[in-house]
Amino acid sequence: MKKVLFVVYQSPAGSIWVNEALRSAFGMYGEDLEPAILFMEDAVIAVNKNTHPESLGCLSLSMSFKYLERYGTPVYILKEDLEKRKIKEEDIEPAWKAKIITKEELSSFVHSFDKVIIF
Amino acid sequence: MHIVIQLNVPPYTYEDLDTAIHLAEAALRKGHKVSIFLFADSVLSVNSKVKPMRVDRNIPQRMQELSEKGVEIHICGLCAEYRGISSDNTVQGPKFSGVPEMASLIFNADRYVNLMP
Amino acid sequence: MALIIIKKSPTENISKRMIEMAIEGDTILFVQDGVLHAIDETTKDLIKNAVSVFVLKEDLEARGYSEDMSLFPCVNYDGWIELIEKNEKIIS
Repeated sequence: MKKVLFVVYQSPAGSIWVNEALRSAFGMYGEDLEPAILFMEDAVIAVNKNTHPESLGCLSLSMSFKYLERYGTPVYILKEDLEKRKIKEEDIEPAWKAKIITKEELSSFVHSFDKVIIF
Repeated sequence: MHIVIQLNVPPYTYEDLDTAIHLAEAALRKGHKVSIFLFADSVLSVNSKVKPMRVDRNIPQRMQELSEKGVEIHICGLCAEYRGISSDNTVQGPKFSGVPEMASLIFNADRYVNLMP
Repeated sequence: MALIIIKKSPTENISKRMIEMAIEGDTILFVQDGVLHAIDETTKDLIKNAVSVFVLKEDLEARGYSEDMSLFPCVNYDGWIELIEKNEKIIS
């Protein structure tokens, strides 16, 4: 088994990369791979329950929730990046089951994976 | 060694395709097996209808040449459908695949180099 | 031991965050607009101890800088492949 981390750093309403990272992660289960997702920088906006790219006619982030539920794919978010973007813990959509990590933990966290792919 | 290069951004607008072509050639010179996975807008790099100015490089042509040298080029099928790329308008060599093949490359290859967007 | 490939300019925050991801024994390679880190003094302060740093020569020279202006040693594409060979884990 190999662990693969998909890191996203760009905004979910301004670009496709949150969706592409999620889609990629869900596709990993066909092999002996254990995927995880980390949102940092502007990508943390994805977990705010008030974020709705569908209001722009774009794909909804909620379409991933059933896969997150089915596979139990872990989603991590960076504490400092949430704070910088004024997202409080109570603003986080529960369906993400997001785990918060700190900037201090980032390097050891990233190194706990066999492959790291940044979007 | 099997080295995979994943691309995500469009050719000509960004340097990534040029970077990948140079890197693939260097890897081939050292006797490595090379695969390229084209994701998102990078699928535009194998469009056979691309017609650059004569002074500029022809990236799809370069991709076909890489394929002739043994580089396995994968096109994300869904990404291609989104961008009007099909077997009718791609250069010879690259094949349509998808995220399952990405997973297989991530699992089986010795090295996976992603050029982030 | 990981190879961290950074292709973004020092003006982009993600490139700093990627430098911070490095731990002892890692190697950072600056490519594309990331080579602008090679002339950026603040980058030097961000690099942790026992982290090796290289710059892709072709990308540096294409942007008007010579190897002797670089704060870090240069490699060419063959050198990049050698770094890939040496590091099973790649963060990019």
